[in-house]
Amino acid sequence: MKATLSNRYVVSAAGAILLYFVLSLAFGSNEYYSHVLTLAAINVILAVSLNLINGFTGQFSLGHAGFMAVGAYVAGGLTFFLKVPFLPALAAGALAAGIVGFLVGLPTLRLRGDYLAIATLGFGEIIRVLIINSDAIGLPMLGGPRGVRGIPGYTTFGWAYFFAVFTILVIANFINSTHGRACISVREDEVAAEAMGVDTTRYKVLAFSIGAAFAGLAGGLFAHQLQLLHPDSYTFLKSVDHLTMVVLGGMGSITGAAVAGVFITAFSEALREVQDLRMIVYSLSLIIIMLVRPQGLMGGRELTMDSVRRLWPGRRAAHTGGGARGTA
Amino acid sequence: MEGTSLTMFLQQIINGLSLGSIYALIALGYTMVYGIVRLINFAHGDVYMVGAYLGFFAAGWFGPRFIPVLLVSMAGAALLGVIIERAAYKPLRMAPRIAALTTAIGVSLLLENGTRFVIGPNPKGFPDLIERQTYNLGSLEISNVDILVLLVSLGLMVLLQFIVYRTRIGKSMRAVSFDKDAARLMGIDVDRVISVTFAIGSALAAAAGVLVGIAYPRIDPYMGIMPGLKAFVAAVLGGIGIIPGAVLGGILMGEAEVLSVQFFPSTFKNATAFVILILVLLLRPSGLLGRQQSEKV
Amino acid sequence: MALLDIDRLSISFGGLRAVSNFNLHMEKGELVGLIGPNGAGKTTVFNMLTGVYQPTEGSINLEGKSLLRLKPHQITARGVARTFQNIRLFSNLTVLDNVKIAMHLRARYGVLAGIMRLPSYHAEEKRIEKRARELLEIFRLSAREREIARNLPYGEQRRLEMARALASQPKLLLLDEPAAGMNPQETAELLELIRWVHREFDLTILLIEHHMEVVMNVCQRILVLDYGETIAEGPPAAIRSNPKVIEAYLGEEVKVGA
Repeated sequence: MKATLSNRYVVSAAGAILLYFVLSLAFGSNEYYSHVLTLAAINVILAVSLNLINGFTGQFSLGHAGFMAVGAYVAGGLTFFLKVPFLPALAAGALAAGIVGFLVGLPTLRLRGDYLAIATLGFGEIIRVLIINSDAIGLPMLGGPRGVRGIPGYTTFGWAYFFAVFTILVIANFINSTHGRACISVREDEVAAEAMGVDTTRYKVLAFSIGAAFAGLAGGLFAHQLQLLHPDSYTFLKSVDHLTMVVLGGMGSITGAAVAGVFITAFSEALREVQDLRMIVYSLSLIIIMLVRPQGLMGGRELTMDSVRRLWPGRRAAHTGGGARGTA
Repeated sequence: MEGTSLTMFLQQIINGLSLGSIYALIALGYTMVYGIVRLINFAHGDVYMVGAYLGFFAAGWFGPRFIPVLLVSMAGAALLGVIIERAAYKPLRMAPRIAALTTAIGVSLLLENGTRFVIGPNPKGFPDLIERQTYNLGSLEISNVDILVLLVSLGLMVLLQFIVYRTRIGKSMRAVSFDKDAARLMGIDVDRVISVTFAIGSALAAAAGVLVGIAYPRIDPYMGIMPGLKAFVAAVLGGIGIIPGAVLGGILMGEAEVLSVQFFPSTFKNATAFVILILVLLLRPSGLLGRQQSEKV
Repeated sequence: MALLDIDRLSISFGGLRAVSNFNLHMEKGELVGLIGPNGAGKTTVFNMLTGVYQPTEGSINLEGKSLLRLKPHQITARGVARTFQNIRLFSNLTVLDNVKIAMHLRARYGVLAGIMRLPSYHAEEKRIEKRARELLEIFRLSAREREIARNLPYGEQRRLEMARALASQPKLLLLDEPAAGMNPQETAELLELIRWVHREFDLTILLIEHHMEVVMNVCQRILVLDYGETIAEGPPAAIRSNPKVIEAYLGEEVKVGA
């Protein structure tokens, strides 16, 4: 079968739908597994969106949980207090998170590597502190340190899976466009990128905002699964979870991020009883990966898509967007 | 009345001084390491925590005597610092800064959760190494613990100043932080210098940990997170990589914290550090005592 | 109107005056060389031209419009392209991608169009790919299309740098030591390539070089910098025998054969 653009799309779409039905049939009836799969899908969204910022654009963000929180509280607040339907609430949460991402990114993205990381960490914590002090800032209904219980449980595995696929599709399409290439050039060499006509500031902020928006989407989904809004769900440790996924999967690889997202979810669940052990394994794996294989599982970057395609010649390409062969 | 509010203000200044000294001791480690390898040692706050625990155990072994406890803690932390540097940071010296920072986060988490795993999450009570007494200077109060903190901190800073400016190893440290490659060409053992820097920084942090253990006798595996962060902000505020900057920044952060409690609810306390950090990074990233640097194209 | 007007351009770093009173007027289609000992300030001039540094004094006008205080990507948009003294390729990307990124400014579709794969995306991407391949063909890099840039031999990396610079369809091309590290054969080929590119693309070129064969044989006019100051300007023959130039390079008065 000729690997034309439209054929590739049809095959990918078919593959995605097939996978969904397989998973649902296998695990759908069991509530626990269903719950874990939903969580896995949400983590895929978080990993892939963080990968856009860290992996593809090379901007080290440690505040992803903060944007998740914004999305969660906005979406959850809308459904709980104003009885807004699920999808518009999710969209509002994502939009809010994207806007916050834009506002945070604009001043912060001038900073270099390690300073940027600390600043984003700072903003993530500031968002959390603002939520904890919601009484003081005139939004007492957000529950402050106690949180809000009873958020409607709208998130199903179906929705989570749908949005995970949606996220992968959007970000893959973005990456395989001139705007995505611009982001990658920022990662590779900012000075050269500017010389090539890339407005590096614009693209850093763009990637940051898009990443933040998807984190907000994930947050909204998360809130409606947990059925709870609580500031402790969005600490720096959560951001470290996301970082671990991106690092494990390989910075700059969408497939890697997605796979790592699923893997880390499964791993966390398996070690649910022994939190200390889980964190120790996480921290060790961060160190070991950096020392031994910093490019992560997939080896990262554009090659990923191509190599997946090469592994199974002629069959489903893992959500490759259209466009040129040189770019995966 | 004017007299009393002035007194209160001065009292706060005094309270802030000992807190500031603690931040300064920790900040020195951050700034020295950044100056020499351009790495934000995320795990440094946790070395401070380990120092406190080492002091706790040392007090068990040697009895509640201040000097042995302090020395054991400082020596142990110095060793830990060198081990961390050699195992986790040295292999990544040529790697992008992001890789080293990720590893540093890993080390930090490992120290926190490792300690929690081995020793248990419940806080421990630090033994009383000295009997508390409060002295009065006119209408101002100061406790002997505060005086101890100030004296020890001052002593250590003077010692550091001596080491950095009057010894050969100190000269080597300054050379390496100025230009690593040139230093190597001059025959300086750069690896050794870097290890020594980490050792000294860690020892100072451990001293801070012991002092804090004496002052606030509750220690737990996560006690290093916030002070570590605030000390980092202090180092950036003063000018990262600049030793007097760390001291200045530490004192300022201590004073700011003590004074801000007067004006803001305490739940905002931790966010204040971040706000200061972000303001410094955006407005004057080289810090109060620092110079601007640009990239050669 | 001259294509490029640089007047009294100067820059100081701290107390050090790196470039002082630099003047250059280039008509469209000229090929001018900029030479001088190491550290004379040549790349600094390029960096000011491309917005990497802001001059402390002076003016830069391209086609009559000022380039001062513009960011580098804006200057590229105005039609100035450059290569770098130390090659700055996107080393982990493919050769083809390196060129495609340089065509970013000419891609006429928005972020949403890209994400939603609208027809404009497909049409433009096709055009970009075609054009990128043409450029690679010109620079004899077609076989390397899918290679990772950092795996290329040095000479080919330099050619890729040039291909990239041309991808943005510039009016003014700044070449910073394009022959650095090349052997005599590669240098001769480069010479031909520069001449060819100059004609075919109807470019105005400003060239920094140390290889005297390149400079003397390809430039119509040469400026000589030393310690940030212009010490000579003129056609190659005049420069070659200028005693001040010889002294700047060799540090003493010596008769130099061609």
